[in-house]
Amino acid sequence: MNITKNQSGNVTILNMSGRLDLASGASLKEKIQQEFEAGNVRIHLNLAKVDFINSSGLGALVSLMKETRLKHGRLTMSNLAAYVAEIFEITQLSHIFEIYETEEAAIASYNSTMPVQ
Amino acid sequence: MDQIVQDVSELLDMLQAEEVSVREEAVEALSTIDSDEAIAGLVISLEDASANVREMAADALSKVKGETTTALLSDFLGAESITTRNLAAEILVRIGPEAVPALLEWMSSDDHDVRKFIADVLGLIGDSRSVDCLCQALWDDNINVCCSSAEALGLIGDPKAIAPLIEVGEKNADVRPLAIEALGRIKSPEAIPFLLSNLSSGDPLLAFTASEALGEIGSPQALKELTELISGDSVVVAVEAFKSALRISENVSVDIRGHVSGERLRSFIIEGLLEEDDGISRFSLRNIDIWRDKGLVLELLASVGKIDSITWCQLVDQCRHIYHDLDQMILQQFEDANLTDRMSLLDALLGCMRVETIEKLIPLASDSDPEIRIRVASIFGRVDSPTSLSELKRMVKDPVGHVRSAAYRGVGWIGDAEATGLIITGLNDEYCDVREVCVGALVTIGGQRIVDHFTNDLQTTDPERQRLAANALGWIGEDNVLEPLRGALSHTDPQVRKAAIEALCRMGEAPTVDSLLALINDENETVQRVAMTTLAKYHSQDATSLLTPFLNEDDLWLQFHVITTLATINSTETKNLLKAKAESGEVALRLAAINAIADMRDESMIVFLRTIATDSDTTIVAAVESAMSSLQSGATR
Repeated sequence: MNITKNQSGNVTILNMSGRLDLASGASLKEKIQQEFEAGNVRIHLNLAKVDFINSSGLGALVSLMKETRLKHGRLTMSNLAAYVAEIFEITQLSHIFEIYETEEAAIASYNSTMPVQ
Repeated sequence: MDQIVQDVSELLDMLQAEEVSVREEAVEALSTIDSDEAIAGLVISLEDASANVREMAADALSKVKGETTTALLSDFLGAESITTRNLAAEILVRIGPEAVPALLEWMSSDDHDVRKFIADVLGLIGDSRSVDCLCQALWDDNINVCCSSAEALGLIGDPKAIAPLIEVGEKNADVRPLAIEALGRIKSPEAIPFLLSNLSSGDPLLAFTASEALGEIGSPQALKELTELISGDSVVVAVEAFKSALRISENVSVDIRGHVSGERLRSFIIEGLLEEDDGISRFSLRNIDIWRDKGLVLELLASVGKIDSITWCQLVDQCRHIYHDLDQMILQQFEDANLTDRMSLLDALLGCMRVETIEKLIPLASDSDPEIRIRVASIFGRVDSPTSLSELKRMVKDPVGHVRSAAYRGVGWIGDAEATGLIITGLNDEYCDVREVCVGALVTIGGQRIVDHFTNDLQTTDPERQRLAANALGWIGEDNVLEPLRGALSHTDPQVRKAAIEALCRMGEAPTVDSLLALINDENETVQRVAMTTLAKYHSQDATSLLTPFLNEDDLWLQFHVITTLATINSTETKNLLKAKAESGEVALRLAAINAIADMRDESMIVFLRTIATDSDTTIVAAVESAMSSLQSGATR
């Protein structure tokens, strides 16, 4: 999995591509941990190029979501490929993740709320 | 000509008939005749006893237009009947600018009611040619005419009216509020000094109207005076001044927060949110963090039932980033809230409940209302704590299926491996949605125990369970599902075989050629087709030779599928096969081959397509033309 980063205001955007599984889930967690350490707790994941996700990948996202909440931050996702969206529905995780159709819509949602104290 | 005159005369007589249908018929006929008499007949019908006849006549008159119509209708503006008068005014507005010259003449009518209604009509038509006449009418003897003229000038919006409006506003106290309003509509900064003088006049009505007008104009020149009024004695004026100041400050990015006292601001915010005033809602939500007023937030939370759902969600979303004890603040509102409000409060808790306060939710887990219990289960699922898990374990035994679903879902979200056994028992629930939720929860948790469970389920006698197991193994998608899925390729149930092929492909572990060789000959057509597609996609070198024999099968649908599958393999061999199929044989298969050739997006195939472009079958010719066109343009069909 390849992860690239860019910034939109105080939201860190991670663009992921490839498969989200045990190994790439661990890399993602590590990457986000670095963001937390740098004080960035507003994270957006653009999953447009993620074409496969398995249990371990889902587990990584769930644990990241919990950790972000503990840090009073936000974790959003967008551009889910059909299969990934299907898995989120099947596992009911679509209810607890903040999922947007597009990255723009997700970033706009950050802009309509206040920065985290 | 004589005949027409006779016809009109007869039609006019028919307007006196007792039967409504006869009068309707007459109006319908009169509307097709272009003569003053016919128009007069239609105008007379505006006073018909039947609403339908009146409406038909009005409709016809608004289309006829012309001076006669306008002149006759203007006369009606002085009618005693309000219905007739309004109908005449409505038609004149519908006629629009064409009616203006005649209306302007009628502004010299002796009847002040006619002059007043003409002024109203001219305002609604909005034609600048009326401005001079209306400016004169600002000084009419009748006050109603003056007021209507001021209002009309505002609607027209021509800057020529600014000076006359200011003059009449300065000299005539009765017209002044309407002049101020009109100046606001014209939106010219030229009026600002006059408006500011009224803003500080001490008269609440004038101050209110001037505030509104200054907000319309939107010039920062007025900000200082408006912000002063925000703290004034009249709350009504203060609210209007606040709204206008907000409008202006948004345009020019000026911060007006410091100009509003805490108490007053609180009342503005609460009332503004309750009244759904967009400007105040936006302002309040944007600034709620800066005031850090817990009392205000508590008051807003207590107003849950009165705030619209979008504003409520935005409010909660804002607050949860500011107040880390928002969950407690929300829980405080529970006691006095009705059922609907409690639902909204629980929805708000979804995003902010903390481990520290989760115990306070326990009593609600046994609430008599299942909707409450569903929400509580969802909240427990979001809060990773032993208390949540223990409550959810209890709630999976709830008598209501939806509550059990929410509870199992929550256990899945917590993702506790120890709860795996509990979720597995949910796979036997009598309700399908509970079973599906359990599968989803198990997929999220993953792990060998769950893989073993689903692998065993592949061997049960229950087909639904076998299929669910095959899908679940695919969704789990870990290395430890590969063997069970490969085994499932030879399962007795075709849906399991199909699910296994698809899952293995998704995992990047497509079945081998040997496995697919058996599956392309599967007794089940769906499995057979999925296997063929997989073969072409993952083993294209072997696919052509393995699939070609199927082109000689009797089954047309199978041949059709093979043709479209071959098109995905871009090789000389497949192109030749498709050419042969396109040249002769069943028309349906020839069409499939032509379309498949187009899908290959190889421009060199145009040469071949030309050779069959003169086919005797017109459908083939049309398909060839379409294929050539898409290949030439490089577009995908």
